[in-house]
Amino acid sequence: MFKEFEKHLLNVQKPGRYVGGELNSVVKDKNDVDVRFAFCFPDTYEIGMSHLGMKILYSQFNARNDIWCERVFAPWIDAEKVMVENNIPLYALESHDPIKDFDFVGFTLQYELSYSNVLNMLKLAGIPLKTSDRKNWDTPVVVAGGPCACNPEPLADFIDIFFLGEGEEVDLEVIDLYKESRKNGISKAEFLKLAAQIEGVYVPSLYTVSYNEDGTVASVNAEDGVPSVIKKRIIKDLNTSFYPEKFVVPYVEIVHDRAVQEIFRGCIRGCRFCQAGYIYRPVREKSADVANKQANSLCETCGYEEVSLNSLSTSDYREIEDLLEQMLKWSEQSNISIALPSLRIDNFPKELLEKVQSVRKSSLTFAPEAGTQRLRDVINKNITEDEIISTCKMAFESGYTAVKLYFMLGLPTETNEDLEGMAKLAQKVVDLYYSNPARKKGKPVNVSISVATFVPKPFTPFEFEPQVTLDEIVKKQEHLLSSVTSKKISVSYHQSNISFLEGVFARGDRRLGAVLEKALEKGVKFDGWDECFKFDEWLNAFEECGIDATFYSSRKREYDEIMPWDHLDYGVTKKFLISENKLAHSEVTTKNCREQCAGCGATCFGEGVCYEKR
Amino acid sequence: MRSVRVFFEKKGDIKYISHLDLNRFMLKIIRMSKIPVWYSEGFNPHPYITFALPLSLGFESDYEIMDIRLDDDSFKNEEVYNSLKPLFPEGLKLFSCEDPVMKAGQVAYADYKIEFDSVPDCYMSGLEQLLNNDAIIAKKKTKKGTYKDIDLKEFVKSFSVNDNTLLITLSAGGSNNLNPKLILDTFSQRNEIETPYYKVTRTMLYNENMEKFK
Ligand code: SF4
Ligand code: SF4
Repeated sequence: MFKEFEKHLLNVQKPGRYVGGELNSVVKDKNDVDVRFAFCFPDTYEIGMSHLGMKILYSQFNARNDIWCERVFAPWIDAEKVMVENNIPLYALESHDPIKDFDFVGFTLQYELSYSNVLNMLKLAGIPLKTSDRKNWDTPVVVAGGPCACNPEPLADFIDIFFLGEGEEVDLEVIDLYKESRKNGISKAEFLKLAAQIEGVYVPSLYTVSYNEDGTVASVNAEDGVPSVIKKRIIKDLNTSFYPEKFVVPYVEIVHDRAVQEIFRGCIRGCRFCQAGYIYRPVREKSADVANKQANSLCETCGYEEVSLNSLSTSDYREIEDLLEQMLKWSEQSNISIALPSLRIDNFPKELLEKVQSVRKSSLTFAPEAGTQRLRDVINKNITEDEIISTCKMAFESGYTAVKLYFMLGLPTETNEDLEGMAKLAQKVVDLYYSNPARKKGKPVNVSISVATFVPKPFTPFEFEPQVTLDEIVKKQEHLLSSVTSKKISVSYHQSNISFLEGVFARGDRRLGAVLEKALEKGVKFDGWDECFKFDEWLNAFEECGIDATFYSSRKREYDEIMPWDHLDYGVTKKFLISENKLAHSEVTTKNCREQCAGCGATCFGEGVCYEKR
Repeated sequence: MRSVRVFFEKKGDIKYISHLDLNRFMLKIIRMSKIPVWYSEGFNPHPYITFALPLSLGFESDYEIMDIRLDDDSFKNEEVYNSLKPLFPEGLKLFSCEDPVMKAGQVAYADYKIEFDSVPDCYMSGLEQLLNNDAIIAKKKTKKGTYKDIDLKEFVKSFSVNDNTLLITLSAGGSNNLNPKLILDTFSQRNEIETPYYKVTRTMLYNENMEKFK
């Protein structure tokens, strides 16, 4: 089968993506293992291979002798065409075996726009799309996890098991249960019912949803003997939890080809638009000593030139200075640079900063997200204009000439004044640059405004909010553009149609399954890629299914509405989300977890920042 | 500072890894091996490596050559070999590490073995006839993207056809390089046929005097 594909490989772009065999990839004898797991990333090789979660689970599964975990990525359009034309089913990179013969096929759901790829990959694999058509053991158990599993309802028809929260422990528990179930000869249905007893496991087929006349959810009913609320799992101690000693080292250039060192999970800040800030609660840190050792081992075994620290809001790591000092001891010597994403550099020792950032000194980025302090208070984004200006001042003095400002458009309560605020802030940065007498003459400053459309997400205080309509977006964009007067400021947008679709699926329910299937028939895939996105086909699919997409996107939800994800428990309570929503509308901010506990509900996990001494 | 010449083969699936990607990968292996390589000066220091002759995507090779510049002259070839050996992945088999005999730019010819999966006899005999012509005028893409006429025959040092296999020695190296694919493409174009599936292995490199490149 792969031999057949090989005949065409030289006619597709970057064939190295389809052959496997990379350094540190794991090849086992299929006869020596009990469980074969196809880990599918529903996007390209380059994107999937850069993803930390996949690296962790891949290594962890393969550390066990009885499991062989292999990687699968979505073939790019040209390769897919060849595969379809020559009847080559989707296969796993390590063995080149078709994944339809595996025990498990698992997807990681990183963004809603990959849902069409999930379905498309099942189709390419020759696996029946629907759970109801996979009742026997002759088809793999199809599982999924990742951030989007917090509202998995649009995929409920297609996925047998969702893992809620962090996967390291629960995945293995389900695999063990599978082994035992196969040994005992019980049916797949019985296995699924047993699996549903495990904390963090959601088997959607065991729950029935009924709807009110107005289309909202009336109730979600669990089958007898199945928990009615499913709680997410977290890893309690990051110091002792599994972390890979080596990564698969790709030949083909991927998005981030570097060592990645996780330093903590969760975020203390609670920006009200940010799903990650809520669903990963509570914050749990890894110690600097452990992180340093792990990072060092990764660099040694993989030959990387760069190591990056991975977390949300990295500067909130309490041991950041200690860690960097430890890491610099070996990194400088081996010509390895340290990359710090999402760092607030205002109150950071200048000396240390220069050492870690010596590599890329070109562009400085900020995410004020909103143009005025009023709106920043609404969204609880704790960054002030003064902070931005003083950091820019420092940066301009040390030679930076480019600043990137990230904003969101269409935030709740946004007015024209807030849009103008974006332009004004950018202008202030420009003016600041030219007020520096020591600036290099003839080197113009470049301030770019990058605008994403706000998408309300489940488990955030804005889950109740309507998303702005496409017409409104256009008007807002025009207003922003007309407010920018300097040539030194450039403005860029994301495609608003894509954000619209993302918004629909983010807060969608089970009825969207039909739309996904219909759209798949029409050939949608790679929706996150501008060049592949077929908005018209999506609109047709909604229409043919008789579903009004704006019901999901631009409808305001009342506080007492039952959300399609209300039976899933991520620690953060709905009561808290409602109170945060009210505070947002009264423009009142909430302190971060380290300043003062806001009582979000995540104490129930018994770990992390909630129990730190304040 | 001295150079060490590394001999290896490139076989199997790794043939789908481009020259550029392999180059990057070798830099990683060299870092991992901790051999005392010489780092370039400047903003973004990196080890210095050169390949005797880049290999086209999809070709296998029995005889690949890469030079590494070492910082520490006392570090022996054998030590380089022992450090690199365990790191070379499947498909890249390390043969030996030696002192360079010839200068890196002196590659002048290369042997290719072209094996067809299944072809009619007439295909092979037709190919043979083509190669027996005094001149084979074909269009070659220039660096500027335009096409110019060249005589492929001028690049063919020798060849032989047996069963499903074409063995051919072609000019190779910086100024006078011919990719054997161009011969097959030309043949197909002239006869308006599709080129059957084939595998290419580069089996040897030579200098101007047809001495094995060492
Ligand atoms: S700082 Fe705010 S936006 Fe960033 S991860 Fe934390 S909550 Fe989200
Ligand atoms: S319970 Fe308090 S400290 Fe814990 S995550 Fe929630 S707000 Fe933060």
